[in-house]
Amino acid sequence: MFVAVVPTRLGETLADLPVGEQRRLIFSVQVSVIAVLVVSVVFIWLGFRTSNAPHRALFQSNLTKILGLLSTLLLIAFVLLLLWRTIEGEQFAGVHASAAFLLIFSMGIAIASHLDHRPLCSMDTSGGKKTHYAILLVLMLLGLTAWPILLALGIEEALFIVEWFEIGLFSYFWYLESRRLWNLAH
Amino acid sequence: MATSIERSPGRSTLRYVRLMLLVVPLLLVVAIVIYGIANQRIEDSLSSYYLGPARDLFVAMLVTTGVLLVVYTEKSWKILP
Repeated sequence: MFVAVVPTRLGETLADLPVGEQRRLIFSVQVSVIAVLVVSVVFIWLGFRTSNAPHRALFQSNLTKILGLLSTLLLIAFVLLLLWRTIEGEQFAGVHASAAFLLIFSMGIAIASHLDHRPLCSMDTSGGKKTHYAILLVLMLLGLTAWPILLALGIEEALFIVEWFEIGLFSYFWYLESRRLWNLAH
Repeated sequence: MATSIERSPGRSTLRYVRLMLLVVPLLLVVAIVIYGIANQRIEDSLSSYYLGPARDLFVAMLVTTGVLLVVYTEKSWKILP
């Protein structure tokens, strides 16, 4: 949500506005950020109170523990940056890019958490190949690696291409998971 | 003949949530293709569409995806018999 709430090139947009408009835009972003943070905190608190917190799913194996710890540390760092920039109330520098990075990183974490997946269910229609997830993860890493290379080649749309490449891979992962769990009995 | 699992309302809802997480980003894909054809150019990043006419769809897609991911907490789903 923070990718949407704190828009890209906010500093450039603010520079083109008169001072009064700048303050109004900054205030509206501050209100949006605080609203999302407050609702998120309440949601997490309710999750812990009802023993339904997602952190329990992170203790299934050593791999998921490491991935969970890594993503939690990154999330804490991002929240600290977000709070700093919100209190500062200037250009929210680095918030949009950090949120976008966290979004892509989280997609990778979601795929990586399936690398040691247990045998697929009996009603699985996805093809049942666990290596699918490893291939997707490698392709995601290759996509990130290709970003600076495309920039060095002078391709202005490098970020656009990489972003859609990553989203496309994650969509395929989601499609596989949807098929895999389509008829799974609880 | 449909089984009790196939008829389950909880399962149908879960399936729709999963599918919506694929369909919602598709809205932005279609919008970007239309803008690309109309303007004969693509932006330098996905976020740049926030600064253009696709802003409403861009924000709607991200917020909706966030809400759907919150709704999608598989372990909390109880499939009715």
